[in-house]
Amino acid sequence: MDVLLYVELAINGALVGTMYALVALGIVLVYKASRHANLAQGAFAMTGGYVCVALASALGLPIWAAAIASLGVLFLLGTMVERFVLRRMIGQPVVMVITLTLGLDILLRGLVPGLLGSSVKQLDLGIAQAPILLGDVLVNRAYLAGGGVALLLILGAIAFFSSTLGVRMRAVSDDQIAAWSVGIRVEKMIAVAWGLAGVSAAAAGILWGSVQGVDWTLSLLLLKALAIAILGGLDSIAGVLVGGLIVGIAESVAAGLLDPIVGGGTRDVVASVIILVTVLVRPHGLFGREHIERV
Amino acid sequence: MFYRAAGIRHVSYLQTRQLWPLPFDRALLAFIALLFVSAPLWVSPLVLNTYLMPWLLWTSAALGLNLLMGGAGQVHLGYGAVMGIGAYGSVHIMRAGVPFELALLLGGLLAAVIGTIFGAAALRVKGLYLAVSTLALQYLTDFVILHVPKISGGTQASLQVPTLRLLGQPVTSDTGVYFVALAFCAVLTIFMLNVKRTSFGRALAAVREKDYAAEILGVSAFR
Repeated sequence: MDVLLYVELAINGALVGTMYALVALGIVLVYKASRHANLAQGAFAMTGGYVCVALASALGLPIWAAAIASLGVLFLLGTMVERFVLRRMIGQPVVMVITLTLGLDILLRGLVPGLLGSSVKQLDLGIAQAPILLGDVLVNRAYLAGGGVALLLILGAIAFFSSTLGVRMRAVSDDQIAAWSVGIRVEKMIAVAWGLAGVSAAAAGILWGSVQGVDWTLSLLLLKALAIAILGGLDSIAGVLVGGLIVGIAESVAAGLLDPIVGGGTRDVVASVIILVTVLVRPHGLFGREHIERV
Repeated sequence: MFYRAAGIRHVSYLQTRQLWPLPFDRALLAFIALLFVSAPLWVSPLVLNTYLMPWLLWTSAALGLNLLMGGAGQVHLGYGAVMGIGAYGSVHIMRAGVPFELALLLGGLLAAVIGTIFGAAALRVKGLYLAVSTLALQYLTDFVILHVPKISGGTQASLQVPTLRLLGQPVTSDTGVYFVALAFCAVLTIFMLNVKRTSFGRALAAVREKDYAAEILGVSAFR
């Protein structure tokens, strides 16, 4: 029980949290653009990992090419999901979208491992196994690389919202009808948001898959992503980053602190507790806009 | 159910409020009921156990969800947790030596109490937030059940359910269990059909369609 252990847990937790935040980014992007819940994000991450493995092994692509190609595949998958599934849901109650995306999550979770094999697959990004020593603190090299890439992508998403396309997307998120009347193609913007959700999920799936191997458990990232999105505020990209750090650190420290006492599994329950506390205390999250309707 | 009356309808209030106004529907229902009751005679035990039983059990389980999501329009992704609480509750009460009927009621009551606590916590928000917080409650319940050996009998163990006794008669055969499940399913279905006709059911429908309009009409969404 020394301080150093906690510093180590916190640093590794923060890096892992940044990778979780990448999954949450997709939920936030879709919510921002269309006010739709994207509960298929976990399965998207899993699909991204699988596609990367499949491209690398079947086509013999080098791993970086496979990773970039799978980002493209998932962008396409995201836009297709919007075009053929979500667009029919315009004007339907929120229950329909939630059930639909959750159904999509379960479908992909069964279909993709069914087609590409359900055993754990190695995804080697060429990161050395040996940890980096910072003084006396061990930092996992894969977490460091993953966290760095994730951080870059999230900062990229923040920058994206100042580009022309991003400004249009902000307009859609503020008021769809007003955006429509000034000539912004609302459906296209929403499709782009879904595509970007697919890209961020794929990146998270590949990074996390290189840590623990690619199999269906990658889709369990959904709950953590939801916790981050809710904690940071559903329509705030900066909130995703802060939420990711908090959830990652809380999880890692709680696992180190409580697992010896209750016998394991705390890691997965932290996200649930964070969701509940946020919803009860501050439902719009840390940085979200206050527009939550209460029953 | 499948057909609607043509021509002049709504002649008397009682007739309109009937569950199944058409004679054809009533005949069809009687036929289906007959099929279910006579099923053990003409299907193999394998089919009875692996197809008909889950069918009945999941029907009974989904009826509650139907009331909540279809009737009141509230998403509940933690329904499995409430089912689990009910199941563990009744089995533990039965193991303590309480007869099956009483244990079932007590287990149901336990699930209802905990479900209401869930509800009070989660119903402060709606839509996506409600969905996510019920999902979180589901994972929390899983965690508690798995990590308290008193409840689950350990992480890898499953509890032995004592022999089912109905009114003092032990029910051991597959057919017997099937009939018990069938009776429960039928009673629950008729109960749920009737709930939709009561003032409570209509209040739920009002909340589903427009919650603030329902509030103005004097329906408390908090229930």
